[in-house]
Amino acid sequence: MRRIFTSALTALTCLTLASCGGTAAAPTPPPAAATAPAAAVTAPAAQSALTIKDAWVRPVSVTEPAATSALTTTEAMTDTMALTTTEAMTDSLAMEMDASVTTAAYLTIVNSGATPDNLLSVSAAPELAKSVELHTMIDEGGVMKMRPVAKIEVPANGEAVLKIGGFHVMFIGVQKDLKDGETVKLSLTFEQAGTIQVDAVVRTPPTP
Amino acid sequence: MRRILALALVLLALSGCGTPLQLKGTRIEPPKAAPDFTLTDEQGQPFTLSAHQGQVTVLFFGFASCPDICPTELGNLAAALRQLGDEAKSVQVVFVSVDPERDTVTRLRQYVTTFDPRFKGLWGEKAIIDPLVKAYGASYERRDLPGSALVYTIDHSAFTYVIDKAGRWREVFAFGTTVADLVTDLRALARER
Ligand SMILES: [Cu+2]
Repeated sequence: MRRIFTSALTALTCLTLASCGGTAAAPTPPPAAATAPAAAVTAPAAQSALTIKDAWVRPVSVTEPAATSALTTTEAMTDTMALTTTEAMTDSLAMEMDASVTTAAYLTIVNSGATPDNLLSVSAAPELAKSVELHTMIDEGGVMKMRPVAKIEVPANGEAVLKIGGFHVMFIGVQKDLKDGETVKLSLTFEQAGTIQVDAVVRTPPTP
Repeated sequence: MRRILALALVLLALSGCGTPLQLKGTRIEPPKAAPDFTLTDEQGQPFTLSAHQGQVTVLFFGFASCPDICPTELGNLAAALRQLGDEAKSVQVVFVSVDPERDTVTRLRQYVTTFDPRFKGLWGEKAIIDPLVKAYGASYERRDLPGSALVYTIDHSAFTYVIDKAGRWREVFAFGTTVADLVTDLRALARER
């Protein structure tokens, strides 16, 4: 029994060591300060020190799933507008929900330059949503408060992370379905770097 | 060594009965009768909590224009139901709108079924919603957003309330509770009685 215990301990120790080793071996980011100025000298003005990664958009639907879209008399009465066909229903639904359907995009902005920058706005194809805004989420003792922000700062040699429960790109008045696997073209405008295009993938976020 | 093992096993077995259920969420101790309500569901039908005894009810207060917090929690609950498999039959996830002004029965149906067709989306007048929210210790407040196309948002608490098959309020989940923890507790409560 003791031998088993000992070998278990050994295994555990190996595991612990392995995970430590993994951390130590993780690639350290290249010293940005050393490379960035050189790039700034040689590269055309359009080339910026910013890179966008992990851009994704939460799926959203402006229509009802087929299984539940069948109208019954009760529903028609409840919804004040008496509608006869499913098609009419879908149309009116889209109209009614004009401003209320929302979704959000998330991404990480990496700044390898020695100067900070600010994300000022994001735009997408006009047929996608009525408005695209920059928002943040503030958790005040368990109360979630969403607020628009004028800009999102990207520190020098650092990054700005837009993520669930924090900064996000807010789509207001979504006009069309966004399904898993689709791509949304986003245009990010920065104070210094100008405009950067990025393809955001539509996906359901992994659960914790 | 073998004797110690045997003793440990006996102790484990004993802790299974007798002692109260170990829950991952914050327990309501002692459990109390869940504040009852009748609201309109996403099909336009009345939904009365006390009429759903025999099922575990999972309550979340939110609003359909919420792009971040509500979809995250509803997504987690949907994942939990999927993992519960057949036992999900004894669990009813209920989303209660705290934006009666903007949300409608139609909108709620469209919203909740995006996550899981089994979800319920409830609507009620502010006069009904307000005391209900308070009774669960939740909170919400309409907040104007000048200059935003959203016009206004709803500041709201983001807890999930769990009511057992006997209609007793048993526990509260914090926002972002892992799906594994949700599944553990919901399965345990679904197996009661
Ligand atoms: Cu937002």
